[in-house]
Amino acid sequence: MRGVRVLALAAVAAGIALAGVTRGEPARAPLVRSGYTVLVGDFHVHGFPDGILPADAVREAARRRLDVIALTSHNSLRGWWLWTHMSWSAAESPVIVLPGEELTSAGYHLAIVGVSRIVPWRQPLASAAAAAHAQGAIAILAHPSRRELKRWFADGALWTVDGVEVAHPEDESSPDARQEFIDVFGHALSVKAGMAAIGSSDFHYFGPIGVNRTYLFVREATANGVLDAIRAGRTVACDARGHAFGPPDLVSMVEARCLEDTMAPPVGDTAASRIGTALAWAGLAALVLLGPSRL
Amino acid sequence: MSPELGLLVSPRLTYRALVRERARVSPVAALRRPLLAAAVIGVSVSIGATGRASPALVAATTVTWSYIVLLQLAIAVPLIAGGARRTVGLARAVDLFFAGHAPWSLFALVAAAWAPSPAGRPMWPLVVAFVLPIALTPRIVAAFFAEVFGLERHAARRMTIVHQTITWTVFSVLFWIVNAVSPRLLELLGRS
Repeated sequence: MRGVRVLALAAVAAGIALAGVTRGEPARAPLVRSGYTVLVGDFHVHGFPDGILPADAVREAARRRLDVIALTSHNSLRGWWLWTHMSWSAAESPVIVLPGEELTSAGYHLAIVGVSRIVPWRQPLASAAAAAHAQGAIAILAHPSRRELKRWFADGALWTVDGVEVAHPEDESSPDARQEFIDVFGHALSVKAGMAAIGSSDFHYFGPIGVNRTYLFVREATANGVLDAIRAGRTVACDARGHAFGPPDLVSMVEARCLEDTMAPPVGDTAASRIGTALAWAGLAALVLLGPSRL
Repeated sequence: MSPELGLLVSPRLTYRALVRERARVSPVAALRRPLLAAAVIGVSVSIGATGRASPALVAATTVTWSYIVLLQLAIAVPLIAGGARRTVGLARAVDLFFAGHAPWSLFALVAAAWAPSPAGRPMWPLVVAFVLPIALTPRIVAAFFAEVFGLERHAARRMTIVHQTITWTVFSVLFWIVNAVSPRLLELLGRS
């Protein structure tokens, strides 16, 4: 038994070491269309303790070819605080990181991006969106439902938001769920023509980050440039199957990239890394079943 | 069969046999199983979130997520230390107690293996798998109190209820705060 335990421990150590093996890959040239630079973003990312540390989420975002993310903890700026206080490499980050909050209220969730103070959750959708706008932030309806939509239609609140998540991991749960997001976005567009189509991963600890993503047509690759693109509705949402949603002229410019990004392995991915991860997992499973030592 | 496997199958008989062995465990050695549990959580979160277990990510997630194991220790150690009829030393009792962590550790590993899929996978297999540690752990904890503390069935059950109530309360409160459960609950109540 002792020999097997030693082997399992060696598998864990070797596996973790192997999992870190990456290969260099040339940086992708920025996509430019109709005078706009196209950035790729995920505006619904949770950090520790309902995810991994923001610094690790940012590294993972770069690995998944994202240019911008928003850290959106539930009803708090915890993710942003951790990023600004616990990230040694924040200044050199290749990814634009935006402060955010997933305002989790009774009846709606809003991904508020570019926020500097918490927007309280005990208020109607329209006033929460107004409070976000007063800070220069944007408000994105997160994983909306048809049932909620009726209420927002009735009080005109839908008009107040800047974007709607039309691609979200929940749309993989059933064809009906997928159609529901598409329907809500369609209704939102009928209310507000410039409504931004948003794809988000709602990243916690069941990855991957950017599984649904947003392509943004920005004038400048900065935080302000990103927020301006969302306000103006210059976005295309891309889901986990490579389907693109948004204004047809913009969709035609990035739908090939959307499909390509969906199929592409992470940057620098290697067989050694995949084998190492499997080895570490198997070694740990063996240690759990055998115990790390005699009792 | 290893003690961990034995506890999954027949916790009472396994603890009875282990207590009879009278082995000595140093306080440092008693940390091996809690450390393994922390490593399992760290690797599982890394794989679940990113699909890989790279050294830097595993180190960061193991350290940050070890708060779960620290809370488990903080709940279990006072109960174990205060047991007047404990038949083994405190360090060995902690070691024996954490041998019963296997159901949750295995669940974490299964969840990690299931999670990282680009096009998503149904969550119901994980929900089903979640039932197993919930069902197995009280059985193992009750066997621990019965055999390691030498308690009668009813007393062991009482201790198990105390331990499980504290554990679930602490982790539910944490979950409640981190995931903003209050507004979700209000929404549910408003809907019904």
